[in-house]
Amino acid sequence: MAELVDVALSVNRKAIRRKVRTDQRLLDVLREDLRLTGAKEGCGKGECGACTVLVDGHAVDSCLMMAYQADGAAIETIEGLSDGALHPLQESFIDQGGVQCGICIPGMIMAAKALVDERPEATAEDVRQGLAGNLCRCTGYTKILTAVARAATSPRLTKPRRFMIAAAAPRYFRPRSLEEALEILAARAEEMRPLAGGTDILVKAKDGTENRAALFDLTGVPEIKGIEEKDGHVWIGAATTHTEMMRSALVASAAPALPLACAVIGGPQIRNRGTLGGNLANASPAADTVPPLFVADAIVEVASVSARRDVPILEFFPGPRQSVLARDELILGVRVPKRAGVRGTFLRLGQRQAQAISKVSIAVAIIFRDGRPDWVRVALGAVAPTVLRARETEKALMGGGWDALQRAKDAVRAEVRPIDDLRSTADYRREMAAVLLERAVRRVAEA
Amino acid sequence: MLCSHEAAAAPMIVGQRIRRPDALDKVKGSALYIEDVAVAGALVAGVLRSPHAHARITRLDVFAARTLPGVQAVLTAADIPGKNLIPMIQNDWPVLAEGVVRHVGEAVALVAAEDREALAAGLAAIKVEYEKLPPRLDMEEALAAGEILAQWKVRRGEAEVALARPDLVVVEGTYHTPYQEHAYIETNGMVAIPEGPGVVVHGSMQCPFYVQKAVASALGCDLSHARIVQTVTGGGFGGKEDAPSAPGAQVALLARATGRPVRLILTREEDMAVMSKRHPGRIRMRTAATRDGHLVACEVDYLLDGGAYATLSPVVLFRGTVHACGPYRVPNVKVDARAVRTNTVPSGAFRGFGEPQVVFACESQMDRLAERLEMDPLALRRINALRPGDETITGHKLTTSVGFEEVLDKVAEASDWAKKRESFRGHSALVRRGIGLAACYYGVGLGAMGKHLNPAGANVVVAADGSVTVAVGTTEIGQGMITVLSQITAEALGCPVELVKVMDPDTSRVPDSGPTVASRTTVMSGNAIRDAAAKIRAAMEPVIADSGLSWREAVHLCVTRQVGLAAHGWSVPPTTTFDLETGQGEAYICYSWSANVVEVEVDMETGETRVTKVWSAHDTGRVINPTTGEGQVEGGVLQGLGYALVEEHALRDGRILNDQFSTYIIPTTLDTPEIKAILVEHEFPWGPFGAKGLGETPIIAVAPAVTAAIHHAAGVRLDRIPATPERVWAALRARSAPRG
Repeated sequence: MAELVDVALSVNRKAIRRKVRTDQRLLDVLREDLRLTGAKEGCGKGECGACTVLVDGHAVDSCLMMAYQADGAAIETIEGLSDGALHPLQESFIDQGGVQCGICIPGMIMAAKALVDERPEATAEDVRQGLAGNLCRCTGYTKILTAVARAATSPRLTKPRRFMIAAAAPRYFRPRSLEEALEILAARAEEMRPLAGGTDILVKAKDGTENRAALFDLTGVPEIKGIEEKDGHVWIGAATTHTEMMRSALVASAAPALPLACAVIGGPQIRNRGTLGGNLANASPAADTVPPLFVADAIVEVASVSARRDVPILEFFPGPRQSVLARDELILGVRVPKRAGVRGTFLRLGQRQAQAISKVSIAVAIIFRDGRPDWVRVALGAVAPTVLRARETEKALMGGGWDALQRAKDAVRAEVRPIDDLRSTADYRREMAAVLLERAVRRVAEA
Repeated sequence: MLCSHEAAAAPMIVGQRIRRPDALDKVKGSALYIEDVAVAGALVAGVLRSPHAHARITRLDVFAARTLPGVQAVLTAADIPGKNLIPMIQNDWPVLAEGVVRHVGEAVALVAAEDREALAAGLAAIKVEYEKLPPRLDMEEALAAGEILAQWKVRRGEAEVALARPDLVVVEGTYHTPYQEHAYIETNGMVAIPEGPGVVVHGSMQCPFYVQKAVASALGCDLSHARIVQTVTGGGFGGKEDAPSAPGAQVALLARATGRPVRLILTREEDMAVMSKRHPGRIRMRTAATRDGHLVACEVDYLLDGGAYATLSPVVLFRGTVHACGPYRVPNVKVDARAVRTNTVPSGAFRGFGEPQVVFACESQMDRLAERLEMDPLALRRINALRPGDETITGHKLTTSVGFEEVLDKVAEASDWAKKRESFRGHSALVRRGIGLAACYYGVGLGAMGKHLNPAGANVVVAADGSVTVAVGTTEIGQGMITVLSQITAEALGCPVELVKVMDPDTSRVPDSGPTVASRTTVMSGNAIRDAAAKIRAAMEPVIADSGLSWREAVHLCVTRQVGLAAHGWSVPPTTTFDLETGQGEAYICYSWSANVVEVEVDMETGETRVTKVWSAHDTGRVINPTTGEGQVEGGVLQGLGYALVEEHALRDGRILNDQFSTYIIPTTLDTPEIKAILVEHEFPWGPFGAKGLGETPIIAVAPAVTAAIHHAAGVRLDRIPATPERVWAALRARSAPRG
């Protein structure tokens, strides 16, 4: 049963302290408790973006964030946008005819605000990318894209103000240190599950396969955040978001495929919340961050209250949708060895250009010596029960040249074990593994 | 005389890009959709649904559920005071299953409870046992078994004789089209509040008068006691035409049973699993033409999967039947169209209404024919295009507002068709470009099959300060009705458009005005408003004469002279005749015309198609507001691209497997090409200020233009949509395979 906990947050620049139920999402508190009904629940699974609000300036699906996770945060909703006069984005949506049925519009405008606040000089492509997490079924997006592009040039756009507020949530729901988090797990591992970005676990909760009231939040734990270089490795904290990895030159230097993979996950709202640790713990064979970690020889750092251990990423997934993580263990982060001269890429096919689960994905990392591959890693997603490291394919590529590439394509066709499912067919996936392999290798060679 | 003189001198408000009156609340987040409406003391409702496609209910025990704390009502078919029936064309659709369930997701029992926890407990405590019956899931099997819901035909000339002529070129094909989900971002939802002996039902809908009939029928009350109010509606596209009658009747029953307000909001998964969809289709077509490209005959066998209940299948099928050969002169025609009953979710209304399926086939045939004749596909269309004075395949002689030739000219010119058709040819690159064309026409309004629903009403009231209130029975569903009707009102009354307020539809304010469908709203409600406005003007003019007063001054003068400034307007379309035995006659009062050119890039290795640009031209008569007009085109085209490339439902044992936005794929911003809307205005004399309808033509002829472009780029022809990468890749592979 859900209990009540204190939270302190600011909503539209007003400080609010109140009790929220531990099964309430941010969306529920906004809509039901605060009667701010501008954010809509179009799907409850972070797929449509109609519930988009800003959390500390970042666009977030409020259906995929528990209310206590917003403790200490500054929330902006559509209702706070117009201070008497309409915001330039609101004016522009009306002027350009960007509004039809209107149900997606509050979320669309908030996603657009995050974009123009961060990047006032946004290009048309930036706008497309920035709104890729918001579905609209009426407008064909055409007038919406125009509206945002016009508003982005408005002289009336002001710099966003930061609003600070002290957190109030109890530590047993929102631990402030790793030690606290591990203690909660040790004491309550049977009943409580850790939560970070919520982009997988809260989707499952919506389907009833996870219990929303039995989660606790890791995003206040500083020890599992950040990207650092140490001892010849790049360390990425488990609570690092896809957006942070996507923008990190340090990540790109050690695991060049990883930022590319992060950039195509979900839409901006999902990338702003989803974390590396969550992606690993979810253990999907289609997880886009995993093939890049496979080809980087990543080590997963895992801890419980009593012990720490390192697990090579290759051993982390013993079976489909399974990880080696024990119930009382947390992922602390991932360590990627720095290798001089490593080049890599990530390619995938999905059912559409954004917000798609991969049909086939591939990560390739190669170190060339004297123009020939000297060290090769190839891993594929969505073509086997778990992410697959294609060792025969790697061997075939070692020689270099056109013949080697053809042998490698044959090898990868033999190594994958794809199935027919809703997203694609086994035959197509098998052949696309070969097509993407060739494209990835060429891209790396030509880089 | 003020108004007409002013109007003559001032620029017309019709044709202007005025701001949408409803946009302000929508951008501020203050527009209240049904889920946003707070109702004190409302119970939450849920529906227990069938897990089987076809089964006998052998036990339905709600006793335990009724005893649970917080559960206020549990209803089954036995508890319905009126008829267990949602009135629709064939009256076969129950509010709650009685004895037998006929599709997965069919409603079996209703629960109203104090909160969601009690609701879940109540639903779980209902004991149902089923004896499974063999389901019929395939439309061909249903056809073979004679499970026919509706059938229509067109007979003109002697198609069979012509198709046997050795001097003609004949092409044929069999085409398959999938389910399409409306994917409105707001799911269906209703709130019922007891009122007197009846209820008032608020909700998301297109057709308040349909919901009214369903509620009154289920409660066994007068229509006047079933008051229906549309809330701001988050998209419809046909999906909120027939389907909302079910949740509307269900909440009404619960509200009467408990005496409390009751709220029912469908989850996304529930909405996708049980609400209506576009009918899957199978079309066989043979087309004969002379060697110089004149169409001589067309034979069409059109089959639609209607699902478990007839709902709107007969009229969906009718529209497809009479438009089956496209906007062309065809002297010899034989169309046989059938909709069959299967144990799947009832198919229903969806933008285009039976045309997108058959137009995919018909336009693919035109592209095939052009290829066989070694003709340019545009030239083939021009030769055969319907012009004023021609007859449609139903023998409807077209007199005015036939802008098809200009539509073709404009779309060809804007897209640089001739040059690209040539320059894209014969590339050997890995990614190949192609350009394709398709066209359609669309009968505006309900036509021969819907005459009883055709009239529409409007009440126009001018207040003492000159502001104007307009009540109509049709609805705003995002398409821009409020905007367009405000402009029509202002133009007809001669008042400033800012003074016009179009009310939320409420069945107590206007007589039954039929449904908001069939691209009929601008024409029908627009004419009803013009009728009312003319009456008000007739009352005003003797008073104000040639006084040169402003609108407000004129109204003030009329008020001081005790002139009543309110009127009821009524619009009944011109009489038409149609013979259902031969399929000959005037199927609709007039037609809108459309053509699309689509430019694509096809990846020859992955089979991925990227649409790079679409030009979409439409003759919709006088354009009341170009911005909302373009908005209809851009949105319809993107839905059409989804239909062409990614959208479909997968079913297993009658259960929809992809019931959420992560598995039912609709286009995002990154999937959207540049869409260029081109509006061509051949005025329709009977329409308000010459307007016709525009809501639906944009989606109809998109898919065949995409597959034609894929053929132009990659040399493979897809007779089944969506043209997924898997299907394009398989076609490429089949072509390159060694011939045995």
